[in-house]
Amino acid sequence: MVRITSSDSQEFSVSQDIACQSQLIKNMIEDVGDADEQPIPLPNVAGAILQKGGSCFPSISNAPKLTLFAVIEYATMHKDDPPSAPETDAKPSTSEDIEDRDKQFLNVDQGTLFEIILAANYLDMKSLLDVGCKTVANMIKGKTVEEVRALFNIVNDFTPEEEEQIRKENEWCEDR
Amino acid sequence: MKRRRTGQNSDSNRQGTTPGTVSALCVPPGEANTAALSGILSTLEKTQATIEKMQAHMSAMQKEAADIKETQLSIINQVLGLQNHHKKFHTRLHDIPLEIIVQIFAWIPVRNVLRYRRLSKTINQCLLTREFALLNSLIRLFMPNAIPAQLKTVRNECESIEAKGLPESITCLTAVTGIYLNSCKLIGSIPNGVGALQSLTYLDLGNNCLTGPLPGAINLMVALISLDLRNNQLSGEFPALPDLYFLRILNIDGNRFTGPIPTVLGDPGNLKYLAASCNLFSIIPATISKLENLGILSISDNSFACEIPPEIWTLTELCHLEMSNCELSGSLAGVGSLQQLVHLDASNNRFSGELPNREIYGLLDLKELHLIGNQFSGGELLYSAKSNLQLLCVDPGFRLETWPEDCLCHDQHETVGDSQESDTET
Repeated sequence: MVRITSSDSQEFSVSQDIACQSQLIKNMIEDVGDADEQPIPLPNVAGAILQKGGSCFPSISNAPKLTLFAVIEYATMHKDDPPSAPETDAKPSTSEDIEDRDKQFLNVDQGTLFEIILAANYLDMKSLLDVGCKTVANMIKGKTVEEVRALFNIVNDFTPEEEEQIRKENEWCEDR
Repeated sequence: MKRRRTGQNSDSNRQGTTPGTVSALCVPPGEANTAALSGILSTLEKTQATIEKMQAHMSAMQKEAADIKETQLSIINQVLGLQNHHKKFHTRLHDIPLEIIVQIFAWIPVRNVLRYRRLSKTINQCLLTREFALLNSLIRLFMPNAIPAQLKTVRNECESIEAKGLPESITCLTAVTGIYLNSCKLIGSIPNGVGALQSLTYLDLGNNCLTGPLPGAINLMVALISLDLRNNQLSGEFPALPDLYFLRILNIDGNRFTGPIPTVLGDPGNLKYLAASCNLFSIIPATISKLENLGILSISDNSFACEIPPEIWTLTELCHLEMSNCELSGSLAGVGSLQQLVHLDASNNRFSGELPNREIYGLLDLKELHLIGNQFSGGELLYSAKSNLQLLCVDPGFRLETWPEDCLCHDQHETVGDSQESDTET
């Protein structure tokens, strides 16, 4: 078993094969060796994203999820996956091929989704990062610029002239 | 409505008149009773008042309904606002590092991903990184049918695509630092607007079919480090590029440039590599001495038809000098100052006079020396035990008794075409 602690000092105990889906943890374990019983600190991953007056350790279906908890859930779900095949350019993949269980797993509010993506990036879990990016891409796809801005609370910081300039440059791919 | 009510009214009164419309009532029959008629008229007035009252009531109700609707909308808006507010407690797209945003947008189909440049300045930046720039110009050029899943694969798609011109719009990519469109079957000329690409450090348009002159506006691309235009059909004189201080690599092999070879490249320049072979250049200007950092100079296969300028011997950093098939005359006296020289190819020219034996003897780093196909007066060439020379190609007129046989090569070099390649093969 491997003990890991989140930034808010919550400790998790997970089996090694689950923890090692994170390349970061794997490297740490390899560097430190098994003998070390110290928990592995992950200062960049919150155990919980606490809602205003929220509780801690809610069940997995309740928002907000615990990021690390969620990531561990994902890793547990995928622990029996075959080692990822070396990327072949021959087989193009699209953002549409997301496994159903992953779709379900990532069916969370935006904040949690981004938090999971950040954690995946930090923990160096390529498959989770990919599936997270795909999920966000699917949220963007087919929407107009205005719709995407509204969806993600993106502030338009262009002057009208600048925006018009870009619109002109990309006229060929607008409205399609 | 009015008509029917009136009808009912007259029905109920049954005063011997024909039941019917108001107008019918207004024309009394001869024997009608005036008292009865006035009764009917008063009833009518009453009815009228009732109708008006009801109408007023209805409009009030409508107003109320509208009010309710408005309240409902504002409640919905409030709820939505609350939801948005709620999101602010959490991580947002803008909190995500740029490289992940790039990864997210990499999954959006190439055909319309660039519309999202308008989202915000940050996202615009992401979509103008090198990979997206490549993508951007490629879609404009080729509009590939197959949508590449990830950008990395885009580069290879060039080969199967029909020839297209370089669009003027490529000049919009002002934040781009590298454009790599080697072997992309590009035709037409290089747009003058490329001068706008002031962040560009690498421009590779090699192995295409670009024609026309090289626009002088290239001089505005002040960040340029490497310019590769090899194997196109560019023509005209090569423009002066005094402002490209950072330019280190210039490859214009295999074009149709005329006039002087480029020597005004940053002032002072940093150029390390100049390849201008297989062109129609006719002049080696004395200003070549300004390229004082030059390590590799390749000007083979041009028709200079002049004497070699002595300034070339001031390029003391030179380690690789190729000038075969150049119709150059004069002597090689001065070559001894190129102490770094490793490779010297002066084959197939009109060099004459005595070979500067002693100077060549002193070039201890020299590994390859090609002098075949000239008109040197011959004499003895001394072999130095300290020398690194591995390949010597000279005409049979020289006495080479002291040389180990495996260094020597007596084959005639090709005088046209790919003489460089055959040289290196020998």
